[in-house]
Amino acid sequence: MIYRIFACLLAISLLLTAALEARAHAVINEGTAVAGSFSFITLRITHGCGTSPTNQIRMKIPDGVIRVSPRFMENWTVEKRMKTLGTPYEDEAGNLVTETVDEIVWSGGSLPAGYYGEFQVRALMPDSPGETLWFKTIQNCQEGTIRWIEVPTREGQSPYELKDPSPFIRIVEKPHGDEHR
Amino acid sequence: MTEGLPRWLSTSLLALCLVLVSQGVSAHAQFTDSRPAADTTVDTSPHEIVLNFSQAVTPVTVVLVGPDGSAVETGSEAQGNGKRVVLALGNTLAPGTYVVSFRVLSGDAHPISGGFRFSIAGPDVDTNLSAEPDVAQPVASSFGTSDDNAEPTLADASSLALLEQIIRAVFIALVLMAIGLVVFQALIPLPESLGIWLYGLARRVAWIGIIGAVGYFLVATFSIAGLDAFRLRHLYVVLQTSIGMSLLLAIVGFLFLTMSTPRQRILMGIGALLLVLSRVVTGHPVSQEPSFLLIPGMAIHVATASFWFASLWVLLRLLRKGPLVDAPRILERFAKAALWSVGALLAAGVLMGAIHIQSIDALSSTIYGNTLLWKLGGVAGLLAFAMANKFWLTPKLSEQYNPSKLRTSIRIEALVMLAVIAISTVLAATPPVAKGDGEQTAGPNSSISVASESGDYSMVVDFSSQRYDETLPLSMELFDSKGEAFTALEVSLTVTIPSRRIVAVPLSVSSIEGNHVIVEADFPDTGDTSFEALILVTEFDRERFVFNREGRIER
Repeated sequence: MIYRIFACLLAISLLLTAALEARAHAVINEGTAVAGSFSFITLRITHGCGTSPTNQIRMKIPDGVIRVSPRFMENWTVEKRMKTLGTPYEDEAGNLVTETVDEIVWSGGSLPAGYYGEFQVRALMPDSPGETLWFKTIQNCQEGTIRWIEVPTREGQSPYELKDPSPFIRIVEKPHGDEHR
Repeated sequence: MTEGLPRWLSTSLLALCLVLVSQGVSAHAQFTDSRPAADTTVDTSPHEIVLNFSQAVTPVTVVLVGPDGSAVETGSEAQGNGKRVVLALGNTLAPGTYVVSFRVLSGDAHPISGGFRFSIAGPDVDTNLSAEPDVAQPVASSFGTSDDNAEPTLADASSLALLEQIIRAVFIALVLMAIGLVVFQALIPLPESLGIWLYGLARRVAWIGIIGAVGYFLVATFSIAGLDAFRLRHLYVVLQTSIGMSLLLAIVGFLFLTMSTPRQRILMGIGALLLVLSRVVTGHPVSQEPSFLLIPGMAIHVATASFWFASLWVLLRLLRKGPLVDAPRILERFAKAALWSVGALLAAGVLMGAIHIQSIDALSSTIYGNTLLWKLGGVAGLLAFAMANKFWLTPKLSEQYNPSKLRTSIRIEALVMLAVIAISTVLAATPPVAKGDGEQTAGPNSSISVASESGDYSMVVDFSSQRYDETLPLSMELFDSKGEAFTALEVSLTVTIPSRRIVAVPLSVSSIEGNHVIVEADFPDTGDTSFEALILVTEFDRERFVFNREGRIER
C-alpha cells in the first residue's frame, strides 16, 4: 500500500518537474538550420518592455554566418552594420568580398506591447553541424531595454534557465540524399 | 501504550509532505520589469506601482521606501493579478528617490525577492540617479541593526530570534532522541519489557517532534514576515528554504517512527535515516565548503551523538525499573558500542570544527570559535562522566547490584548532554568565521581579485575595511582580458546573506568613474555574505562575477 503511494507521488513530482519550459522570450522561430545552407532566421519578439512599445531591435550576427540579407520591411528602417571578414571569400560573380554584416538594426517602427512582431533575415549558415549559434538581441522600447544576451556558462545549462536568454539556432546535418544546395 | 494515529492519517500527512517537497524542484518566475521602470525618473507621482513577472505570482510584501529612508504608508496592500503585481498609491508622492522592495511567490511557491529604484522629478531633486550618493540610503539602512524598520521583511528577522533559538534546540533534542533510540535498539538486544518501553518512547518522541517541527516552522515564518504582517502564504516562503526542507524531512521521518512496531523495524530505520538527513540538508554542511566532507561528517556526528544521548535515557530506565539481571550484559554491550561511536563522534566533530575554524587563533577571536570552546568544555565533561561510569561505577554494579550511584552519574551526564546540544544548536546558527566583536585583528581580506565566469575579465574589489561586521563602501576596479582598465556600460550588484535570509537584494551603484565603480554596501558582513556583480562590458556582452570576501565562488 505505502509503496504504491510512494510510486504515485514520485510520478506526480516528475510531472511537475517536466512542466517548466514554455515562456515568453525573444526566440528564433526556426529552431534549427541545415549546415552550409541558405536559411531564414525569423526573430520573434513576443512582448514589449512591460507596457512600453518596442522601437528598436538590434541583432548581432554570430561569426561564421555570411551573405546576410534582412527582409525589407515597409514600416521599419533596416540598417546593416558591417565588419571586416577574417577570411574573405569570392562570390558567384568572382568579386572578392571582404566585409559582412555584423549587426542588423531595425528602427523607426513601433511594436505595441500587446502584439508580437517578426523580423526576418536570410543568410548562409556555416558548415558546422552540432553548433549552436547565438543571435544576441537588444530590444529597445520607448521606456526601458531588454537585453536578450545571456548564453549558458555552464556545461549542460539550458538557455531556458536564464533570465533573458539570447535567441539561438542549432545547426544540423544535411539530410541524406540531398546533394545540391 | 499509544498505538499512534490511524494509519490513514499518517499516510496522508506523509503524502502531503512529499508533494510539498517535490514542488521545490520545478521552475519559478522571474521579475521582468516595472512601471515606473527601474532607475528612471518620472515627472508626476504615479497612481500605482506595477511589477511584472515572467509567470503568475502571488505577492507577499511590496514595500515602498521613501527618500527619508522610511516606509511609505500606501493605504492598501499589493494585489496580484496573474503576472502583474499592483501596489495602489493612495497619496501623491513627494519628489525624490524611492526604493521598491518586493517579495513574491511564483506559482510553484518559490519565493523571489528583489527591488529597484525610481525617482519623481521635482525642483530640488538631482535626477541623475547614478551620481546621486544619497540614493543608496534607503536600501542600505534596511541592512542596519538599528530599529529603523525601512524594510520589514528584512529588519524584523531578529525580533523572534530567541524564541526561535529555544524551539530549535528543543526540536533538535527530540530529533536526536528519536534517532538515538532507533540506533540503540538496532545495536543492542533488549529484554522484552525494555524493548516495548523503548518503542513506546520512540513513538511519543515522534509525535512531540512533529508538534515541535510545526511550532518551529511557525516561529521561523513569523520571524521572516513579522508577527503583525503574517499571512498564510508566508508559510510557503519558509517551506521553500532549506529550513523548510529540513523540517519536512524531519516530519516525514517522525511519521515513519509513529507507524513502526517491533515487527516493522525497517520503517523505524527509514524514519531514523530521514531524521539524520534532515540535520544534514540545512546549515553549514551545505552552505560551507568542502561539502563532500562536511555532509558525511555531519551525518556521522548526528547519528553517533544521538546514540549517546538516547542511550543515557534507556540505561536510566533500565537501572530504575529493571530487569536488573540484564543490566550487566546490556551495559557491557553498550560500553563496546559506545567506544566506537564516541570515537567516530569525536573524529567527525574535530574534522568539522577544523574545517570551519581553520586556525587556532579563530577559537578565541571569533564568536564561532568561542562557542565551539564552550561545546568542547561540555564534551570534556561528558567524557569524564562516561569514563567514570565505564571504569568505576559499572564494574561495581555486578558486585553489589546497587545502581543508585550509577543512576545519579547518568542523570548528571544527561543534563550536561542537554547543555551540549543547546550549545550545538547555537553553533549551527553561527556563521563559522563571523567576527562579532569588531576587533581590528586578523580579519578577512580587505581587497580581493576576482575573474569573471568566462575568465575574460577581472576586477579588484576593495572592501574598505578588514572587519567582517562592516562593509562600507565597496569599490571595484574593472580590467579586460589584456589587463587594461575599461569602463562598464552598466553595473549591477546584488548581495546574498543566507544566515539573514537575504537573497539577491540589489545594492546601489553610487558612481562609475572610468574603470572605478563605487557601491554603497552599508551592512554587517556576517561571514556568509556573497555578492554577484553583473557588468555590461559591451552592448551585447554581460560578464558575471560571483564572489565573497575570500574571492571567487564557483557555482
